[in-house]
Formats: sequence, structure tokens, C-alpha cells
Amino acid sequence: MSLLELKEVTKSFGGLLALSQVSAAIQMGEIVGLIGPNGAGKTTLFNVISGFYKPSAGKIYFKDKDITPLKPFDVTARGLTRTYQESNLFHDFSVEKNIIIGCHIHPRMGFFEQLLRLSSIQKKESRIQEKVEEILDLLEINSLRDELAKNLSHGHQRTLGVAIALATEPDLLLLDEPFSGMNAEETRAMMAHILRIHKEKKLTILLVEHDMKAVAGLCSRVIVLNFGQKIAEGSPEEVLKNKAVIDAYLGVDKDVV
Amino acid sequence: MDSFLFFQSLINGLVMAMVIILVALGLNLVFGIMNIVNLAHGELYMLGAYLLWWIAVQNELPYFYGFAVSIAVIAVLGIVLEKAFFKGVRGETLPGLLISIGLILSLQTVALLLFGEQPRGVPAPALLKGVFRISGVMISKERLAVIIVTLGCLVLMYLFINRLRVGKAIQAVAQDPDAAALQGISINNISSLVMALGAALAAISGCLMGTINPITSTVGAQPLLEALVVIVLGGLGSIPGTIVGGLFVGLVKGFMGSYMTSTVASITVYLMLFILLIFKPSGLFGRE
Amino acid sequence: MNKTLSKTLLLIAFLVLILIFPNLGSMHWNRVLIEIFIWSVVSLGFRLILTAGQLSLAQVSFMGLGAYTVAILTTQAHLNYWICFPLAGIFTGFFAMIIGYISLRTRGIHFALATFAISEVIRLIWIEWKTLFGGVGGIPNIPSPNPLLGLKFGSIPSFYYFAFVVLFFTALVMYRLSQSRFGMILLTLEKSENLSQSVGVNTFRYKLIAFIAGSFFAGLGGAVHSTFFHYVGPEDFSIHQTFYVLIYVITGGANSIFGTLLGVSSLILGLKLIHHLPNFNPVWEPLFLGGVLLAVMKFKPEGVISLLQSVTRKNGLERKQ
Repeated sequence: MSLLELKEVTKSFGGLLALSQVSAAIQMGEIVGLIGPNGAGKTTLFNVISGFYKPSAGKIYFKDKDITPLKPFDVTARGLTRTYQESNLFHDFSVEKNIIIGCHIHPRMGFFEQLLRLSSIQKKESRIQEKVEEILDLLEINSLRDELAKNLSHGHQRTLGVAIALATEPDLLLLDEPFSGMNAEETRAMMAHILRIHKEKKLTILLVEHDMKAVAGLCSRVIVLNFGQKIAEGSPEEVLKNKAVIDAYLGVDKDVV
Repeated sequence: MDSFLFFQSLINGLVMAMVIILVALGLNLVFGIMNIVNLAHGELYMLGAYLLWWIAVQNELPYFYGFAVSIAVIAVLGIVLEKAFFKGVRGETLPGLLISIGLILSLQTVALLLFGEQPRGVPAPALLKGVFRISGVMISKERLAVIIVTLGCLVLMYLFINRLRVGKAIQAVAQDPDAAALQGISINNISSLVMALGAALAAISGCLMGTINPITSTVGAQPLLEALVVIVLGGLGSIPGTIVGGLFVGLVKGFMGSYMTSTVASITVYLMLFILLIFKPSGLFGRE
Repeated sequence: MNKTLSKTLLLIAFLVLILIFPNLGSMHWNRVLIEIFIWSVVSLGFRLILTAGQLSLAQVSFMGLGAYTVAILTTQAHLNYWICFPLAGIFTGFFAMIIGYISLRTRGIHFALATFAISEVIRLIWIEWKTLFGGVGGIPNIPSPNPLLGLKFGSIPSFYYFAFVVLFFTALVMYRLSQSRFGMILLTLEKSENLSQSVGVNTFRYKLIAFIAGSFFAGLGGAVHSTFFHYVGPEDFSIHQTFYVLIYVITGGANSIFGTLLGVSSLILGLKLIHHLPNFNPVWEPLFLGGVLLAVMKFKPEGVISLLQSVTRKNGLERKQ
């Protein structure tokens, strides 16, 4: 069974057709790239998969179950988590607190459980602490644990975004342009993080990205969107030689390829 | 329904619609076009009415003189409030709301201190005393004047916004403040101008109502709420929408007022506002 | 001496002071403190809802619901006050659940105005439905609480301790919530709602729970109010009173429970002191508070604005161009 299956996903906003019958399948353990020129619909697709938008037509299956009508928090509970293109963090909280908040589903705490401070809380809180330590180590941001999220450098903010997503214990991680705004060194560090979490946490990853070197370095497979439609799919080398793909990028972003 | 009551309700509804349209128009200009969240708009209406009373009754000066002065003073007050409080938070809705609350409390108190607790009334000027009779239905000349003045204001407003240069400048700022600024239009000046216009419209409707209803310090709350209903119904920034919305709300009030107490009519309007705010997707922010 | 220890000692000293105050102060100031306690309960409820990013302009209307519940059940159904007291909170919470369920799909100014509309509907119903609510005249002769566990109620000190216990309980619950995960999540709802949803938070449910809880305490505050003043009337719970609560909370600082309590006490004290000025006119009260709010907005808006920034930007869902 595919971990994630998109069946003819279509999304229009008023008169604008943002996604048109996009179909694809992601297998467990893959790192798949989602590329395409600006406005191709990549972020829209993420928003649809993660439940922030309802598709106008089509279905999304995760672990063979239809998640199309689910709200974002239910999608995350199923094991599918997304990150954001802009630094979307809990800005006024410390790095550590950010990750603690991320541990919302695993473990879950009830309202009265918290209010009455039942003994079950203790166990859950120590499990959260363990998770936080592990994630801080895994992404090498232990030294930053008390820094406020809004004060971090851009590269560290994106890393924190990934850390928060990890706290939800996902099976599939949607990374929205994890390398945007990063210099070469930060990019290398983030690539290493991604490979590490892929291996250690047995994650499947779907990532949107413009930086072709990163895509080629990470992804075993690439899906190409243009004007809301899937125009190509295959290994990075195949896709980059595909005429339709080259045409799509030409005239928009020549230096991307 | 017997035809007498029907026509009476219709007339009442129309008159109420006119007042609501004026207030809503002013609010729409300020809130809808310039994004100034001044919910103390009703207090400008109230102060306009009080000023007319103070000039025409307390100081026994001519009615029309009082009318004109009231409009001028309230327009200036609008500018002062804009510069003193709203300038820094243009476009930010919740700080604007808080400032409005502070102004509502302060202005109502100032009115009480200046004009006393007694409800005040302004007798109609000689010109407007009396009634017209049309096939058995009575309409007082004052109410007719309300309709005529409102229509006049609408026409003037239309001409102002669409024909005058400064009106076009207002439109430009409404659509794209940055582009307008680049063309050399001063946003500060336009804001003040729009605020003055909005305040003047509020003052006009307040003065018109001063001869029909008693004036108290809290008399501005109802028009404000109704204006909000109209704006949400008709669409923010849309003048035709304001007119249609105002007619609708006014007529509903007019007909309901004939058959049930004004309290129940008010409850209905508030419930309408509640439902519109929650279920109309564009709510207070959609442009149509 | 370490900081936590000294803070705790200070708190205990303060509590002791409050507890022995009825023996020290005049009746007048006892009454003032009772009012401060009651309005603190309502303000803390308001603050809880504000922490979740929503401005509930119906807060004092809900207080009125609790007050009227007690009034009707004690004067017409002749129930024991100690049954009515929790019922007031529960009924108010239930009503808030319905209103909240409908209206929490909106936020910012829409929600604020929607709650304002509801507050006026409630007030008008109190006026219009004369047989149940007594109309403009309200419901008089509300009795003091019945004797409980051998304690008699009716004297000023009895109300003082009762109101204080209610406040203490409220503050304790608020404190627990603020220290818990629940409180932490509430703080994310205003600025980072999408991210919160992404980590699995059902943000709508959190807002609803905060709204119900905050309104519940408003109902309890109302229940104390009606038995202390022995009267309820529609004008006691008007939108102006909600404005006052808003001003107490914002001036004192909505960021902390202590700040809110400080705001309520200092402003109510300020209002009472104004009473002693020569030529006092009751309208000076709204002028004073309106002026305070305007001053806070003008000179210290950042603290307020950052707390209340309405989230109309889309939190990362849109592409950066």
C-alpha cells in the first residue's frame, strides 16, 4: 500500500484553477521532491493534503484511509505533519517550549487531568521531556534551548520548524521549502538534518524545493507541477532532462535549473 | 393589514431608512474606505443633535444656523479625533475598537456634563411645521425633510466622490494606499478629509433626528448598531449596498414597529447583526 | 532568602491581611473590597477568554445571567442559595457553550461585535419579558445566602469572606490553567493558530473551552453580586459595565493574573476615591475610565496591541512571492 495517495486532486479558488487532477503516490520510506515554477500550485497542494483547504474534487488517502474531509489537527493525529515556508513558530516561546507544544498529541493530556493535576500527568510530562531532549540532540540545537524562537537566525528557525514537526511523531513529513533563504552552509546542515531524521525516525518525506542541488541530493524521485498539473515524474536526472519540465522553467526561473 | 397602517409603516420605515443610510454612509466612508475603526461614530451623531439643541433652543439662534454650525463643529471634531487617536492605528481593528470604547465612554460623559441629563428636543423650524396629507396618510413635513435631505446628501456624495479630483483621490487611497502615496496623495490629509465627511454625515442625521426623537447621551448606540448591520449586509465600501441595506433595515424596523414593541424590533436587528457577523463570509472586511 | 520563598511569604502575609481586614476596616471599605472581589472574578474570566485571543463583550451580560438565575430561583422558586450558586455558573456556562459554538468560528472584531450584539439581546430580553425578569425594575428583595454548615450569612463580614473565597477559588483555577499545558496552548491561538493546528491542537475546541470557563466564572460573580446587593436589574449588567471590565484588565495587564487583579483593585479604588471629590457627579466614573483607556492606548499601546493583534494575516499558508 502507498503511504500517501492523491487521486485527481483539484482545487479552484473562484475562477482560478490552482490544482488540476493531480494524482500521485508516495511509498513508505521515500524522499520525494515536489518541484515546479512559482505559482505551480505546490504550496496549495500541501495545504490541501494537510487539511487546510478542502479540494474541489478528488481524494487523498493516507495509510489507505480517506483523509480528504479531515481538519488539520486530525490529519496530524493520523501521522501526517507539514512544515511551513515562512518561519511559522511559537515566536514568544523558547526553543524548548516550542518543541514541548509540538508534543501535543503524543502524549495527549485531558482538560480535567491537567486542572486536577492527576498523577498520570507526571508520567506524561517526563515522556515529553525525553522526547524534547531527543529532538534537540537529533537536530543539534541543544545549545539554543532557552532562546526565544523569534530571536533565532533564519536557518535555526527553519530547523526549529522541523523540530516541532518531529514532535508530532509523524510517519509522513511535508517540508515546504526547507532551504529557502539559507546560505550554502545552512543548506548543507539542513540536508544533513533531513537525511538523519529520515534514517533515525524512519520517516517518509515529501519536500517542496527550488534548489535543484538539494533536490538531487536528497530525493530518489521527483514530481513536477506546472499550472496546477503534474507534468512529469521520475528520478531527478530523468526529470531534469524532460522537455516539458525545461519548457516550464524556461522564461520563469532560468537559474534555478 | 389595513392599508392605512401599511402606508404609515412604509413612511415610518422610509424615514428610518434615510437616517440609517446617512449614518451608515458616514461609517462606511470612515471604516470601509479608510479602514479607520471608529465605532464612536454614534457619539458624533449624538453630539451633532445636542449642538443643534444648544444653539437653536438654549441660545435661541435660528434653526438652520444651528444646523450648519453643528455640522461644521462635528466635522472638525472628527478631524481632531482622527489626528489625536486613530492616526497611529489606522487599519488595525482591535486597537481601533479599544480606542472607540474609550471615546464612547468619554464623549457620552462630556455630553452629560455639557448638556445635562434631561432628554432634549428641538422644535421643528416654522418652515417644517405641519403635515402633508396624501390619500389619508399623513407625513409630517419634518419627516419629508429627512427624506429630501438624505437624498440630497447621497447625490452630493456621489458627485463628490466621482466628479471631484479630491473624490478620486479618496478612491485611489481606498484601493491602494501605497500607490496613491507614490502619486503624491497625502494619506494623512485624505484620512482627515474622510473623517470630516463621515462626521458631518453623522451630525446631519443627528440634527434631523433631533426634532423627531428625544436627545439623550446614549442615543447614538442604536444608529451605530444599525449602521453596522447595513454595512455588513450591503458590503463594506459599497455605496449602493449601503442604500439597499439601509432601506431594508429601515423598512423592517418600520413594519415591525407597527406590530410589536420597539424593544422586540431592536432585538431583531441585533440578532440580524449577530447572524450576519458570523455567517457572512466577508463580514466587515469584504469589498464588493 | 531565595526568591520563590520570599514571594510565597509575601503572598501569605497579604492573604492574612485580607482575612483580618473586616475587623480593622470600616463598613464602607469592606463593601468596596467586596465589590473588588466580585469584579475580580468576572475580570479573571474575561482575561482567560482574552488569553485565547478573543474579546468577549458579552462577559458582564453573562454575569447578569448568573445574577438573574439566583434572583429568579431564590425569589420565585424559593430554592436554597447554595443550590442556586453552582446552578448560576453551570447555566451560564451552558449558554456560553451555545453562543460560543456558533460564534467562535469568527475572531477579532467580528467576534467582539457578535458578543456585543448578544449582550444587547440579553439585556433587551430582561426588559421585555417582564413576568420572568421583572422588566426595567428588575427583581428586588433577593435574600442573603441561607445558613451553611452553621455559618450565618447576611452581615457585611460574611459577604466579605464569601466573596473572597469565590475569588480565591477562581484565582486558583486560573493559576492552575496558566501553568498547565492548556494555558500554554491558549497563548498560541492568537498569533500562531495554524501552526497550533498543525501540531494537532483542535483550536476551536480550546477557544470554546476557554470561552465557557471564562463565562462560567462570570456567572458565579453574578451569583455573588445579586445576593450581596439583594437586587438585580438590566442596567447593572449593561455593555458599559463590560467596557469597565475590559478597561480593568487591559490597564492592569492581561498578561498575568496578578496584573489583572491589580488593574481591578486600583481602578475600582480610583472610582471610589473620585466619589469623595467636591461636586462629585456620577458621570465622572465613565469619564475617568474612558480617559484611562485612551491614555493607555495612546501612551502604552504596544503592550496592548501585541496582545490583541487580530490575526488577519494567513500564518504561512500563502506562498511568499
